[in-house]
Amino acid sequence: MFVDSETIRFLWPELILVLCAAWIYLGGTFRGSRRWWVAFALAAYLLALGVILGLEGPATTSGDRGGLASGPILVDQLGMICRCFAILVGILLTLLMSKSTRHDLGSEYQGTLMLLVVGLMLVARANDLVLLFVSLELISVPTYVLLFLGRRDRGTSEATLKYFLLSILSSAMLLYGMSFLYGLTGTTSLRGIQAAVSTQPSVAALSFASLGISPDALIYLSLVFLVAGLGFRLAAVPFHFYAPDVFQGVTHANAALLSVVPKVAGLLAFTRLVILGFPQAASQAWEILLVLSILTMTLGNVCALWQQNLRRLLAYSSIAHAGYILIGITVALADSQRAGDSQGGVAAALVYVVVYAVAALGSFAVLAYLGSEQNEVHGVDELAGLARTRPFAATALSICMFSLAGLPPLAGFWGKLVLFLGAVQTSSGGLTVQVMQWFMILAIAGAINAAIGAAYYLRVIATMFFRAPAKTLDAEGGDGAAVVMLVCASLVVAIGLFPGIALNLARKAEASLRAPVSLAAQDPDRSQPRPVEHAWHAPEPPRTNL
Amino acid sequence: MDVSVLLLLIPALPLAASIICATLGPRVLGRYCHIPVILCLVAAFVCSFLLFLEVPRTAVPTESDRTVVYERVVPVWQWAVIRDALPQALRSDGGPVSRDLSIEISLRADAMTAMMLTMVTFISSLIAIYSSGYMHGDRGYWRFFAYLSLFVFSMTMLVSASNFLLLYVFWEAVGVCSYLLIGFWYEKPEAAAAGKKAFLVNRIGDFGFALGLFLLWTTYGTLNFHDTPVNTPGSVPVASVGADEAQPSDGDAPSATGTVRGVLSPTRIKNHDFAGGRVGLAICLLLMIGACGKSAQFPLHVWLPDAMEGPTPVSALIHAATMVTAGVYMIARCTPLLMVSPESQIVVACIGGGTALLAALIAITQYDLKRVLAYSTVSQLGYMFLGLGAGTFLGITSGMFHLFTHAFFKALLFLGAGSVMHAMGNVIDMRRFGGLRLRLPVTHATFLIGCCALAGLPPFAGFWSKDAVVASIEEKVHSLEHGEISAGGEGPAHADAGAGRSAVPSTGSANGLMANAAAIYGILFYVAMVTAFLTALYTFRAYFLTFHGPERIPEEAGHHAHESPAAMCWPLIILSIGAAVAGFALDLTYTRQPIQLFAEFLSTTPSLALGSVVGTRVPYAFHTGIAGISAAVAVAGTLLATYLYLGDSREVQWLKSTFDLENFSRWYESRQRTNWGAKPWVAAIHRGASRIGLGWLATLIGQSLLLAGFALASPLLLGNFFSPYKLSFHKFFLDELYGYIVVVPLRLAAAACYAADRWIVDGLVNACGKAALAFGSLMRSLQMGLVQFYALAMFLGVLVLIATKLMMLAG
Amino acid sequence: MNEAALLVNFLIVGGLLFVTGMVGFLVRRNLIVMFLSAEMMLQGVSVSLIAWGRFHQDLGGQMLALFIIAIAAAEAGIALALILMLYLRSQTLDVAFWHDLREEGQPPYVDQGIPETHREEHKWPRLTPSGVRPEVDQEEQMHRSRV
Repeated sequence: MFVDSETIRFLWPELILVLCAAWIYLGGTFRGSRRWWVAFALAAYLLALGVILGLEGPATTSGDRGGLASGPILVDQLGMICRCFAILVGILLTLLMSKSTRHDLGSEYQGTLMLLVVGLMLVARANDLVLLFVSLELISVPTYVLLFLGRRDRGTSEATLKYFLLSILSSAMLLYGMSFLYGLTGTTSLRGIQAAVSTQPSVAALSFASLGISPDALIYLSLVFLVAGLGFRLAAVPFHFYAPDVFQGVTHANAALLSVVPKVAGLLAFTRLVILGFPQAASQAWEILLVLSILTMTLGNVCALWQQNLRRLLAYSSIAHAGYILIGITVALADSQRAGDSQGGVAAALVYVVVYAVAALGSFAVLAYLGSEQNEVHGVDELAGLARTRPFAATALSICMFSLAGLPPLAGFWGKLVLFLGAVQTSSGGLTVQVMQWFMILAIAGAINAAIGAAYYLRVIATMFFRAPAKTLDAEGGDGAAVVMLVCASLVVAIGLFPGIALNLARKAEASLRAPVSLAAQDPDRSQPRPVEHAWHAPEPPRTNL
Repeated sequence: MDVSVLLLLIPALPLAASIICATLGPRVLGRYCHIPVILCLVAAFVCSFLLFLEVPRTAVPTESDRTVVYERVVPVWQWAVIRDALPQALRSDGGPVSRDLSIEISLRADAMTAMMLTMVTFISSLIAIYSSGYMHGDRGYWRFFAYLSLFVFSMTMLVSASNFLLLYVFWEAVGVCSYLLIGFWYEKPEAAAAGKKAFLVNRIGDFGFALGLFLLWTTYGTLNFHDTPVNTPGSVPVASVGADEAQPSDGDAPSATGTVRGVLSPTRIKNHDFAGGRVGLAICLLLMIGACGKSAQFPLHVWLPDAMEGPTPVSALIHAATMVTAGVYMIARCTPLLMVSPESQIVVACIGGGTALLAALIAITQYDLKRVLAYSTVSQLGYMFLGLGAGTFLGITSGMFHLFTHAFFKALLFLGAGSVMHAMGNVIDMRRFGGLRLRLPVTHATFLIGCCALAGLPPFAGFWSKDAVVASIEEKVHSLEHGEISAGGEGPAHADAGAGRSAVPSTGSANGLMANAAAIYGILFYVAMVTAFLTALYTFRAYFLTFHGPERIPEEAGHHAHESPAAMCWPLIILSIGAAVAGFALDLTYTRQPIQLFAEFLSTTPSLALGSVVGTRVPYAFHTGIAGISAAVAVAGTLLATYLYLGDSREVQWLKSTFDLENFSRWYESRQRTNWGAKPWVAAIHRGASRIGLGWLATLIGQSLLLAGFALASPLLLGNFFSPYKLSFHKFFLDELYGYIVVVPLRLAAAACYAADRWIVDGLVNACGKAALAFGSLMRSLQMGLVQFYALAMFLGVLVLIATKLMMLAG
Repeated sequence: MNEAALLVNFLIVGGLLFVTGMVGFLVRRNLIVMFLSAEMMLQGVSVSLIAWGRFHQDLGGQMLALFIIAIAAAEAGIALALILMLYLRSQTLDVAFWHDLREEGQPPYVDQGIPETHREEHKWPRLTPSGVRPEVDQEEQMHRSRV
């Protein structure tokens, strides 16, 4: 028995989605109707959501699932919340793509998207390097297919090619980083890694010393490669180069996918891998990430100032937001160095990524809605006078853009507020003076960037509201896109009005993320990696001579 | 129904109506837009009335203390919590202080709120009904009703907010609604300009208010009116706090452990824990600036007369009955803050009295019917401030009482004016119509009742409330002179309660002010009397000009010159009943057991349960003397108006020309001036002189004579310019004065700033912007589209990170 | 050879494979070769993982390596399909052909090409003709010059 039934039980939603995806692939050859498969996919997502909330909700909140926690999957609040969010993203993307796909490819499209959502759900709960890698690839591989299927022209081909090649490269780097992590600790379980790294000095480290390999160097190497691999997914400088080109080339729906899914996955992998697995490397990690964060947001914002193409503009905006998300991770890393209460860095980053995702999805949905299959909306100028010709779409886009710019009382404001507050608080209560100075710089850079960022969002809004209509847009993006646009805009407003709910959920998620740390510290049995507990491991690893 | 449900329903109904109107109005509802609005507003009024009945029922008196406090807070949701926002708690002497800034949306019910809610929803329901007739056929019919119900929503939220921040938000919201409604006919340039003026003048006040809020927060560490439990934000239990729940007020014991004491909460009031001294004074004055802006008090009153450009129902609702009283409400709500700095109370009283007199003087000579009413509103608001400024229990309740009655009769008068306008084809100049009493019988009768109420003729509503205000001033003077109450405003019974912390306010710079307090209040008493006389005069002047004399109808009226439709008449009738009976029905001091029901009702408000306020509470009595004097004054004013406008016209003309110094104007007005050149003998001399070559001499003599004449006549001309009539007619030239001392320097400063901004600041900002752009451009050049370059960048990124680490390790 | 030295040797091999793959990815312009270079990087990782697994007496590394191979196979499938489609569209496998998507205003990349060798100077050895002339495949020549 590879996997015990308990694990299966907690994998039901994913299994349902995988089975439905397979069914969609098979059935698509017999029944080509796009509409039918969209409905089927929506039903599948709702079923999975129901299973998560109905079956697992009580189980997750009831406490730590001892045996499972060291297996390949984790059952905790963070996973729970992020899976629900993944399904929400899946539903929204399904609706968004309901008309933008070619009619004969409807089923392939939906099936592939569903697998991608499964990947995202698995990233949220991976407790094992293997599962983490596989689930990240389960996001990447369907993404290539989706990007290519979106449209048949040179731009799409080129964009897919670029994304594909660079994504493989980044996967290789991520894997290389994982290999060092594995080499350092001798286990693929994240919890085991955490335990091994936190025992000082570990058995392995002692034997490295005899080899002349310093474990610190290994940690650093691993960290750099992990940052490279995950930075690609977050679109952080200097791994961001693909983003503008790829966004420009693909359809609006695919751009929405690219701006949301890899970012969420990257952040989750970051939290799981770096923050959970690396308390020791934190001092080095936050320096790297702080610099990357400042560079990323600055570069994203200043480049976005120049853009005329809407998707390119939103691509740079997505880069800038990756920088903001990195602030949260940096704060969390700096916090993990010292004892005491956290400043909520992870929670802030989670809130921010959700808030960003909703607003970005909404923006792309509006653009998708405004165009048609033949005439997509490209330039900012094409939106001139939209407030008069399409008031609802213009309002939705303005709400989303105001939120991206971070204006109160919309969701983006709270996202930025908690992020910057975290940085400011670290800057006033950091470990050393140097830390405090750096975080002050970070907070100031964030504030300046928020100001720069507002400029280009407001330019778009001003174009919509204060210029004479240039040409009438087709607005044939379909009802799905319209629904997504309205849902996202109202979500943005709702989170803005009731930020407490989102913040509390994120805090709970962060607490659940940190809970095993204290458990491991208290329980002497768990301070050592226990490979026996791994469900996928054979009890006695055979010893072979190479 | 439960109080919390009622409290939520009251604002929710108008909001729903507003949304319905805004979304369905233009396409679906069309000319039936008023139906949802009227239904919702009437329903809201019913809810308010239930609340009004509920409040005294649940306020249970206790035996231990004679003050009964009723407060009920309904938290709706916790909008935001910002942790550790306050660097350090400045006042940590009473109970725990939270350092978080928690923005809580919570509504409250107490006597004052219930009173305001009932008044607002009642008047607004009637005005909505009236508007359905008045605005009939307007292009922006749906827009009007959407704005109107949005205003009612904001106003109900304003009076039921239990948080200064929320109060501020809706303070601004009513300002926005007012702006939108003043400029409702935005194609009309005057309307647009008036809207802008109102908005800008209000900004000055709001700026002060905002500063006051900042100061409040740093001083008290919270902006809530009520107590909030610590550490459990968002789950404030619904609290009905009676006076008996607080611990005995021994000064330094924390009131209730585990709660942050709200700024105006009963526990804080019980312990009399308010910041005095300069901080307290600054808070009060800043709040006062805010109130001056919203309630159109001198020197920020200039926007209100211009606000009459809006539709008349708007003037009646917003600019007479409800929104402009927000300032009065706020000051009354903040009574405990004012009590610890009596200087600020004197300021309030002086501003109120001064404004009352000034506005009354201006109102006498205006020919625009609505403008007369606008100035009378400013004047009556001045009365309310005067009452609040007395700082005694009687003063505050009488100020609120005047607010209540004023809402009835002023709304009535405005609606009557609207009815006249409606009939006269939107002509409002009183010189162009007259003698309308037969044409508009209902309007005439109701307007007369309104005039009597405004003029303060017994037994109409205005008489009772104005009398109460005047009486409170008199009582204050009396107590100051006889030292019954110390100047500090500390009640003797509670001097020990909070004196330890807050009873040292009157030492300092304002000592002179305090020493002369009795004299100041004495002057204010006479000011109030004079104003009462003037009020009667201008009120009846307007009445006579409009409804008496020979019948004149402007040609714009066309065939409209008849009584208004029923939808407009019924609100008039209902309001006139209110204006007639609201006074003596609520003020029962003339009966055998004197009790003022209104004051009794209000006394359960936490803000008025402050020891030093309660200490000034005296047994109710009917002030026969003062009532007599003020009635006599009002009657005198009325008689004078009757004589001037109905009496022998020749005598009146003579009187007018004497007092207005109109004769002087003949000296310089060109059409009156003699045309010297046309006189034959002058021409002959001139011709003859020029014939002998001395024409230049004649011209010279003539011109020098003219110059000398002007020089001699200049004092007279100046006098003419400043004649009382002209002063009043031109509103004491205050607008022009502002024009010269505020607007022109501001324009100059603006020009200077513009230049500086254009050439220096803009240069810098542009340089920064350019720098960002240039940096962006630089970064863009990396984006050359080649996959392998991107891969190289990624790889180099990794290498740089590793190399940096190596270099750091090495050196 | 003790375990530790074995580990180091394998790590060096893995690292070399990784770096070679990376360099190949950066310098080769043929799409297929670029993809193969990326696969080589993955194989370098696999070697490292297996070496680490042996060192720690743990099967996790081998497990991950197996999954890497599986996923690489999946990616290869997609890669080849994608490259085929691109070839059909552009008739070239040159990765630098695809740079239409770039920042506005940036000059297009111009292939400078290999500097021309002077054909005239190049003297091929000439043999006296004997028997049949060898036939030169036209298609092969075309490919040769291009790849």
